[in-house]
Amino acid sequence: MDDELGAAEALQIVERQQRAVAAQMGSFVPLMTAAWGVAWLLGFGALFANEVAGLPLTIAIPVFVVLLVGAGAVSTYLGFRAGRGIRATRHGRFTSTVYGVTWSFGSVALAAIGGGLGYNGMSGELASHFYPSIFLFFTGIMYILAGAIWPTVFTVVTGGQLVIIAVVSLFIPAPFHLLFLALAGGAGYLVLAGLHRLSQRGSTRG
Amino acid sequence: MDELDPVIHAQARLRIVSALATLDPGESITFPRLLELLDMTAGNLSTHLRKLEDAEYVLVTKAHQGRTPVTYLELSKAGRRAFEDYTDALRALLGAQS
Repeated sequence: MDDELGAAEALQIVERQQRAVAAQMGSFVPLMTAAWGVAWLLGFGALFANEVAGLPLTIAIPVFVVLLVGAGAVSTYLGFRAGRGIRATRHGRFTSTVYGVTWSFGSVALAAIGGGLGYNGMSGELASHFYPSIFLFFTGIMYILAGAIWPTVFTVVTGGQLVIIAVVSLFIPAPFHLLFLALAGGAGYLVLAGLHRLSQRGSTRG
Repeated sequence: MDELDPVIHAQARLRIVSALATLDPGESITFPRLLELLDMTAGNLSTHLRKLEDAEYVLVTKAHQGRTPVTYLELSKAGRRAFEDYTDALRALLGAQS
């Protein structure tokens, strides 16, 4: 027995170690959030610049797509890396697989729904409101679910924020809804990333 | 402090058990990842893991990823129960002192 170890100190070790593990397991979240922040700020910024400053669509759309796909790739890589060395239970593997497939399945379904609405006469202006809003809504719901499955308050809060932005953006006239998305989403993500990083400091060592 | 489990009540083993207890029951972790999370030396971690394994608090499973052997570690049911009893005992002691 470690005679030097008092009860209070022992309990502190337990709590500090468990906080440190949680912080290390979630250490990728600020970087992932910052990647989405940059993608939104510059991506929706480019679309807004197309509307008000004449930035050609041939530049604005590729910038938007590359940044969003890039942020998605960064997220996938960081999420995969965070789980390295952990062997999940059969139930855990099933949950992760269903969750992952739902991202792809849901995204394709939303694109198809948009296509269906276009087929039924949705205008280009309405589409520019519909697509960002519906994808944001879906992303927000998926974040909330992720935060519920792998309990993380930060993820639930981020998801809730995305759902609110998705709804509010529909009530802002074009093209300023793009500016709103760039700032509320992009800058919002960057602030969240910074706050999350700060909250992790001091708990990365047991 | 006589009622505290001597297998757990040592700083290094307490850190190991605390870290393993954050995994869900049935989940396991590789030796290198646990080493990274705990920031201990490999020798120190091995020594204390052996004591926990001898007490049947930790289960060690050998597997292969391709041709590479991998060692997975997890708390046994007895280990998880012992850790819960240990933290309950700590809280009871602290409650009695305050």
